[in-house]
Amino acid sequence: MTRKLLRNKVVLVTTSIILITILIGAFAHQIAPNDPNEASIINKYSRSSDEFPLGTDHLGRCILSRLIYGIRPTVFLSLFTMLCTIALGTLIGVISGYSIGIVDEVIMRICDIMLSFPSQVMILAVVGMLGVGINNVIFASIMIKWAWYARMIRSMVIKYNNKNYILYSKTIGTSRSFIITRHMIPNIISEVIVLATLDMGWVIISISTLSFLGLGVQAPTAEWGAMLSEAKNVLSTNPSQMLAPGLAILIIVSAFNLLGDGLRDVLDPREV
Amino acid sequence: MLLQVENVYKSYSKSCGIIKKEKLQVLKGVSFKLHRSECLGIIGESGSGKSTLGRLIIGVEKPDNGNIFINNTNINSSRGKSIKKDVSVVFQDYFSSVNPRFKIIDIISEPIRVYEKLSKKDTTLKIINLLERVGLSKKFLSRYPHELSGGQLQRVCIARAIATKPKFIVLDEAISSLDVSIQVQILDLLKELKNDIDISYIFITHDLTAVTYICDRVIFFHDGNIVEQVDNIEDLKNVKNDYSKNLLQAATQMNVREAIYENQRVS
Repeated sequence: MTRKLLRNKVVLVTTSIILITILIGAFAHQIAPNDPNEASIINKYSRSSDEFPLGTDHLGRCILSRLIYGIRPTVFLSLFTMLCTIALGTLIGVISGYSIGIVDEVIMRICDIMLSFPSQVMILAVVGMLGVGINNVIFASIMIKWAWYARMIRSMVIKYNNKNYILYSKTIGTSRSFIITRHMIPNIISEVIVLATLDMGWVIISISTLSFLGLGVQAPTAEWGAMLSEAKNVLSTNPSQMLAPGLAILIIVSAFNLLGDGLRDVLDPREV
Repeated sequence: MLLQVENVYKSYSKSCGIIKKEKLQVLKGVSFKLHRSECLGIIGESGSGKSTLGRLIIGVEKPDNGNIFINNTNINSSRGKSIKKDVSVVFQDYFSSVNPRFKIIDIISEPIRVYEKLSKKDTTLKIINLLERVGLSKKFLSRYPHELSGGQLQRVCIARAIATKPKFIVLDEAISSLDVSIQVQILDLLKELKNDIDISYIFITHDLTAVTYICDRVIFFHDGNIVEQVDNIEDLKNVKNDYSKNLLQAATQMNVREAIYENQRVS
């Protein structure tokens, strides 16, 4: 499996991009050349120089440093959102898949309701109700995404529940926890991971979009979407301000999407 | 009495449309008994409900009506958990019978882990022992299922089935998806195990030849009912029921035809 993953060039390249990004984000303190929030009006819109490798923004803050510090809210919060979504979806999906009958029916109808709303509108509605702030954005993202995972995991639980090796385990009276942790979860995870990776891109865009609209991460915290939002004010005079955060979002989102595609190729059992 | 099936009914609901549900009666009052160290063949066509019966006996599904007793304990009662040790199963589809992510050692250690608290070393020794019982060497221990052939994998399944020292094993079409030479090997292995460790089989199949090879008694199953029961395998020719006669005749004809083809091929 590992060898197959390593042989796939797309997976290799995208994984290294993502890992490097995460590492840079984790050690932002050591790597960033300047304080991301230190404004100096004299230096505003300066071109790239030794002190400011990517130039400065409208308040004279170092764009590179802001980009590096921006990894934290953008990528880390997206990862956090995704993990929570998967955890919640798995929990509800497993409960639903195991309890055939009225409970299953109720959970699935709730899922149907959640799935019938357009996701961005739903997030806006939740943020509108709960107020502006990144916590609420994350909460809203989890709230609308879990249903996708719950539904998928439910169908997988039902599928694997009828696999012969699980029937055998039931026959000899293996404990349910063993069946779930050793048989169910490993099989489910390998399928979920593909979707989760593809969705990572969606979550990053979603958080950036909301920050761009001023609903997510609040100034002066560095966040790519918020940086774009600040840059758009000076689009006509200093269009190059958009480049750095825009490209950063483009690269990380494409990396996650391509990784998802690559993982699907590698993990697809039909190719084994 | 090892196993006693009493007047068992089972139906599945088939949904037609959103609300309307249709009941599909699969088993219609099945009763039979299984004695110690005998092999009972259950033979019938596809869709006759014989596999459903197997699933009821191993306890993964519950009958709508009627009871199943193993050693005089109802398997669906609260005390039924304790007799799970006495039952085991081997399925037709050996590839889906084992978790593809498990190595052979993990596959066979699962039942051992449930019933015996052995150290890691003892477990491994026991697994090697079991593998040797079914004619495999210990070099298979760290292999994955997809690295084994069908016959080898079915042997692993049998090793796993006897690991808990069950009183009887349900063989649900256990040899049907193997080729003929391997079928004979597996049947011989099953016979040998039966003599060695005093075990009973319920041999669910549609293959009459295999039944005559291994079974002591035969039940003809048709449309959810037992249509005929042959207590002595020697009397198999003298079946009275029309359905059993047809089945028997079809099998004989096929054997004759096969022999003719074989002759033509050789000459």
